[in-house]
Amino acid sequence: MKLNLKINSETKVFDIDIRDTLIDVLRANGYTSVKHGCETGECGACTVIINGTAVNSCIYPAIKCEDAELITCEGLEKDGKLSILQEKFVEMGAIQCGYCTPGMLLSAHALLMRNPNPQLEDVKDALSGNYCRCTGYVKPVDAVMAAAKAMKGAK
Amino acid sequence: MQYIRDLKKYYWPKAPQDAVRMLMQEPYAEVIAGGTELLVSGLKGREVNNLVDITRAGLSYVKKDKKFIKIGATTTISEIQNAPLFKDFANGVLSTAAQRFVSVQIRNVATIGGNLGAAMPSSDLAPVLMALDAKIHVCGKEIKEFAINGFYLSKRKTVMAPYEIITEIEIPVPADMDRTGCAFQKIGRTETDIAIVNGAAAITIDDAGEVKSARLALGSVAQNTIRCLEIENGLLGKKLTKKAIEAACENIAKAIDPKTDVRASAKYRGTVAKVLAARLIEEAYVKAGGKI
Amino acid sequence: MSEVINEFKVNTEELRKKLTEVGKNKRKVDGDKIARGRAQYVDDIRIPVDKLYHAKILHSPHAHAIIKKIDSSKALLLEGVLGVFSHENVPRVPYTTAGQNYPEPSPYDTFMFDSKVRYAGDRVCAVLAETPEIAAHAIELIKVDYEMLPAILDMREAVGNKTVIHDERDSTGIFDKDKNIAAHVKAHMGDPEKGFKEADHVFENEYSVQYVQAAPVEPHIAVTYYDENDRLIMYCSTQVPFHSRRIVARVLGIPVQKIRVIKPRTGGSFGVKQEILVEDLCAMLTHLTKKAVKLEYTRKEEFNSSRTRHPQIITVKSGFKKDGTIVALSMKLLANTGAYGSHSLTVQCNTGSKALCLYNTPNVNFEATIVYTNLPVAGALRGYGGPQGYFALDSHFEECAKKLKMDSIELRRKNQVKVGEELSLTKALGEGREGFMQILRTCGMQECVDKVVKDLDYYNKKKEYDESNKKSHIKHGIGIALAMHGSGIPGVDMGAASIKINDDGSFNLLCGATDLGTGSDTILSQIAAEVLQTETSKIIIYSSDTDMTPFDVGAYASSTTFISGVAIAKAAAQCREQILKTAAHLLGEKLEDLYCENSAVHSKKSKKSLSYQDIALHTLYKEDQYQIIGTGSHITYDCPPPFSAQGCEVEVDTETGVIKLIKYSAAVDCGLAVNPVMAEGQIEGGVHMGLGYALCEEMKFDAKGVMTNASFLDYKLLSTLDMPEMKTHIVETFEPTGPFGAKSVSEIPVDCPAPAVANAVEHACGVRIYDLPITAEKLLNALTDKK
Repeated sequence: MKLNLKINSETKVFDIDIRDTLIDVLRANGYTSVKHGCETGECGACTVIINGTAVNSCIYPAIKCEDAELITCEGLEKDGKLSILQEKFVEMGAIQCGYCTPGMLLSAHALLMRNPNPQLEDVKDALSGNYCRCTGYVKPVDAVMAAAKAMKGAK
Repeated sequence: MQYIRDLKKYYWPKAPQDAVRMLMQEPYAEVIAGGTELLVSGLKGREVNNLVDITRAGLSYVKKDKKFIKIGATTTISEIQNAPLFKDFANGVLSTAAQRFVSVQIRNVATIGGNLGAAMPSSDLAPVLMALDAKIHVCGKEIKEFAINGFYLSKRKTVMAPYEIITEIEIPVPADMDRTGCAFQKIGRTETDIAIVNGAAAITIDDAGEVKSARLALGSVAQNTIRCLEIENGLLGKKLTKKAIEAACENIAKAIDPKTDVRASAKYRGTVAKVLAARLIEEAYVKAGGKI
Repeated sequence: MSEVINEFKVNTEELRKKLTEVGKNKRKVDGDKIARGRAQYVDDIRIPVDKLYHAKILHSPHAHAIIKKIDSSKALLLEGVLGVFSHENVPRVPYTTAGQNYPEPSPYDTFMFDSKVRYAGDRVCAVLAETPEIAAHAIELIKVDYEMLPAILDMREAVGNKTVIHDERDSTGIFDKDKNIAAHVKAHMGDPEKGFKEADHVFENEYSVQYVQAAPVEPHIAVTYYDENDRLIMYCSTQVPFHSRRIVARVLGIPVQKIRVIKPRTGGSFGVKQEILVEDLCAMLTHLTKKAVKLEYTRKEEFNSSRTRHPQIITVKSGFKKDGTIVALSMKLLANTGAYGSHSLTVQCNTGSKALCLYNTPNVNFEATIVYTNLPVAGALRGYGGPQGYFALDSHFEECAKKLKMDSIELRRKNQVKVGEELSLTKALGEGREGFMQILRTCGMQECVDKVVKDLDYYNKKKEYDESNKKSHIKHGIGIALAMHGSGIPGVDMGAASIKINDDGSFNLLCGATDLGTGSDTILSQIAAEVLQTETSKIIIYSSDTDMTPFDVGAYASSTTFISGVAIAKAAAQCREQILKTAAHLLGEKLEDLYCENSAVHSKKSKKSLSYQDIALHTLYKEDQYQIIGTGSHITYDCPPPFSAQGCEVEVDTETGVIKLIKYSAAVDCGLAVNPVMAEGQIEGGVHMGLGYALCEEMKFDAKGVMTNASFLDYKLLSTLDMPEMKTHIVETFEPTGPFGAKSVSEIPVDCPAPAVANAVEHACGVRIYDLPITAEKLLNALTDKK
């Protein structure tokens, strides 16, 4: 069957099976930033943004995305340039193995879309569904805080 | 991996009655809302050919009038957490409980109806709704209404009949809101863990500081979320002190039937249930304006 | 290497002034592509083969059983199933999954498939099918008849049990098969018995540590296929591409020449990908069917059937003089390797050689017995025996100090090994054999301790809480712990690299060193750039690919910076020499008048310069053309230890036992940090893993040995919300044997959190927990018992 949606500001039609989870559809269509980590909605590596909110795509039926607006990590950059959030992650050492990074970026992006002035606790809460085994979360949390500050300055 | 091997059709009813009709008509049909429960652990070997998705059936809303707050069954946990209404209502206890619900990604998808319908004893919302004396509206062959106290039969079992779906949760606005205090607390191995024990209390006091009404609900200490009626009765008409609270909670063991699992032993659950019960009562009493 | 280092062999400050690339927070070379979601991990690679098939494994539900019959008839009838593979149709070759140096110091006690299963999670058979769904369905349709055997589920019951776990004839290298002892090691220094006799105080305690997981977010995965040259291509998420190639070649019975292992980006490893866990089978299925095959563990498989940290029961005994001088120290371990002996000897050797060398003790005794049980298999995991040993040792020291009525930091300082002294057990306890005696050259421990003491306001808060804790059921405590680790395996670990120049003065750096997410691609590029006096961004690094890059043992034992880093510096130095020679020729000047700076050769005399681009264009296109290329290999018998002091403040609710982490401070002396921000990242990540070990991570089993919490829902890692406020410090020293003064940093941070938390909890509520993890329930029970 066909699935119509908007992804990273592009209108797309994907061929899907009714039984497909969203992660498999996205990966099959080249959005490989969406990572497998646990298949049970616990690790957050497969996080994507659907209609403005962060969602675990591994436990989300693809069919639910009909007419939805999605953002994956591939959609965060603008005109080939890293977004402020992405830049802060690179610059501040928030990336190690990077496997959880796309999911973390999207959780943070969803937070900043909703709340451009987050407190430390808001950031920690927003990232609490993204397991990272490398960083101990110290630098990712700092990077999100710094990004929020820088984005305010940029406006 | 595909999530249901034998799935053939996926329905989007526009109204709860349509959903019920589809469930009755289609063989091996299941209702799905957020799907977080169904896709992770809900199927347990059952064959499913048809899914009836009720997230477009007009059941996502939070409304308030003078007497009731009404939450549509497919309202997500995040929507509850972030609804301005719940930031203040009942000391923000529903919002607090929602915030402790696993992770943001799950909260954005999981629904209140799904959580209550899954009937897991560790639900963070159920104790709060019990303390608030909520009612659960159900649509099936007929429309029914259940008090949440009594809604659960055992783990994963509710009083709902086949083909029935939850449509709405109705919370009465306490007449004496200014003198009512509410509390939610949870103990887990980590901040994002399922509860070892959780609970909620709502206490209303009179001018003299005596308890007029009290409701205490605990989760993860029995087959399902329970009300602790004996403890509640022990508080009525009293000005609370630490001792009075302790005395009321003394026989909590009779009310609960904790089990051992990977999170904690039955014994530990029993011990901290008592501590948590006392703390909930104290917190709610103080929030109601009582002094200890 | 010495000549490369020697020119900088000054004090840290002077060196720092000269450095332009090393010691700086250079941008992570793979950071941008990761942030853009474009980094390619194994599952993201598009292989040049039409169809990829999918393998799934049927794992044993039983802890110990003989497979009587595998009925795969129904599975084979399923459309899209290519085959079912088991001991019935796959050759039997004993091997070890431990990706260690050849010959591996782990027993050959593992088979791709066997007619016996030795733990719940062991391989029974595998299905190859067109889709993962069909493979999973086929697995459900396979019926296996088991003859149940009694299972050993308690390591204390293993030795001499009637049940023998490895009763097969063809396994080798097991210490005592009949007694279920995988490995055994004994070592001593001085005369421990005499030492204890002469001591004024002797203390003894028993500690135990649990089964935990590395839990990298990317599960084990391999994709294999035969290319057009009939060579077996293996994309693996591995720390050890070269060991993987060698081991798989042996198991498949094909020459190493036939195999190419490629490691793309890796999504975390922490030791558990030093195991040949999926690629052996994946490669075998490709070999047998000539199909391209993908085999990826699910998270559940990752929990049930990968590798774990070795559980241990540790008895520590110490003898002190009245003034607190330690005169004898003994550590006896009983360790559980689970059903197979992967890393069994070496991890436990490391427990001794790391923990027992921190304090300068004239008489030391160490003994480890590593037993088989019918439980999941232990293996390599960040820290490699260190976290176990330090939990015991540092908890013990805190207790000794209390009994000696001494300040525990002072007791540690008094006895700690000092610069110029020998590290007592390093000769006796090598990589499963005799090692090399180490003499301590650099040590920043005192400064580390000072930082932590200051961060936590240690002495003031200790006193303050002693008072305030009397008044409330919410109690605060402060604890500190110290550790030292190693840098590579001396005399064993080898790294190699090559560097060549391109037309535009950029360089290709090819190295076997395996970036598994630590950032080694960046720091190795920095080292190359520093030696070549160019910018890090001019280095194009490629790691690791057994066809393309020189050999390297892989990323383990905290060896990459310290060993591979020097190999790269050597290669770069060779390259630089050729550049200088060419420049001398072109400028008509003497070599000694020339120097490299800013991607160019300059003359001190004539003040002329030639850019690397000019030089490259000349050597590649103009005259007597040749490729400027350098290679380097490095091995060393030195293993300089990094040091760490860590401390924390906790809040304990004595009515519920709930422990909250309030503050954490970690300081590490890792020599000169090649990239300070990335070194901090290693520390913070290590602390996170160590805190999980301390507080909540634990694999649990039912009465039949089946894991009961094989998901992230039930096995909890700490999340952002659980992490305390954290202070991280790098204490710089200059290690003369390391590249630009560097030592290692990746493992030592995991050693301290558990004892630091245990000590803080004890301070808060007066109860010491001897067995990890320190859960709320365990603490509450202990508090109740104390009353």
